[in-house]
Amino acid sequence: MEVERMNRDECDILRLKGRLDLAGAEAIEGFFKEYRMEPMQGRRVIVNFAEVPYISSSGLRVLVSALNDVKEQGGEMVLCEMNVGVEEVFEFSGLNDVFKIYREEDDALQAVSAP
Amino acid sequence: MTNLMPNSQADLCLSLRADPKLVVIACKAVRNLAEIHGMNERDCYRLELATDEVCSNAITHACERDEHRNYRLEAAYDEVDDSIVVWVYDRGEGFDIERVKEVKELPKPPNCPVGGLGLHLVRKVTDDIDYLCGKNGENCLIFRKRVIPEPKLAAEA
Repeated sequence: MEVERMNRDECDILRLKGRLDLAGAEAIEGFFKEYRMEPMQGRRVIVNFAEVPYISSSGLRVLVSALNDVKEQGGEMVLCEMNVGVEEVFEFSGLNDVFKIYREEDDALQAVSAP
Repeated sequence: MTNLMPNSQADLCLSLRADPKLVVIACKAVRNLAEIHGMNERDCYRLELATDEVCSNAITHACERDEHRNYRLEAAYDEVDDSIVVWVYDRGEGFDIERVKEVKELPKPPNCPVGGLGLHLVRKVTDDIDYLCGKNGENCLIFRKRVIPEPKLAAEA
């Protein structure tokens, strides 16, 4: 599991790559621990799932924790480009009501950029 | 859970070290068994998810207490019910499956942690789930998913 980080329009784009299962979650927990240490005031974050073929509850936990960290500091975190299987796991867990999920990265960018 | 077959009829038997990186081996093996018996792609994904959640639970909750740090998985195709049955054995503390079954909906974060989410997902994506505490200290979580083939395209029908 890897995280590619980039910036678009002053927004952090985190492109996840690989299976977000127990092993994948342990792998990206380290990234999010460091990410949390950075100044996050009002940070806008888009997590792109285009290269995530699979997610389990272990992956959901890491994302919920990251969402809470970003929100606590007045920021916003949204998700995009999920495949049908991954999207269904969010629905079954009820977390599709907790996260804002967009079809395309551009849609997500537009949503977090809107005043 | 009804019509459980004896484990001697399992098509697949794995003993796995409690390493998160190895869970994918169990997931893919169960998925392949389901594919062989014609399960549709969407349900194969769900079966893989259920297998993943139960094996991950065994690693994080049960194997910590086990000096051998391993767990076992068996899977079989049940001709009677046209379903895939999976057994996952560990030597953990055990829990009350009825309490898990009672939960209809998990509270939403951030007000509460997402503990119990794994078994909640297993219940959602399988047709039957049960949990047996053995006298020898070995527990077994069992789940079943019926085989529903891919819908035929109009041209094929």
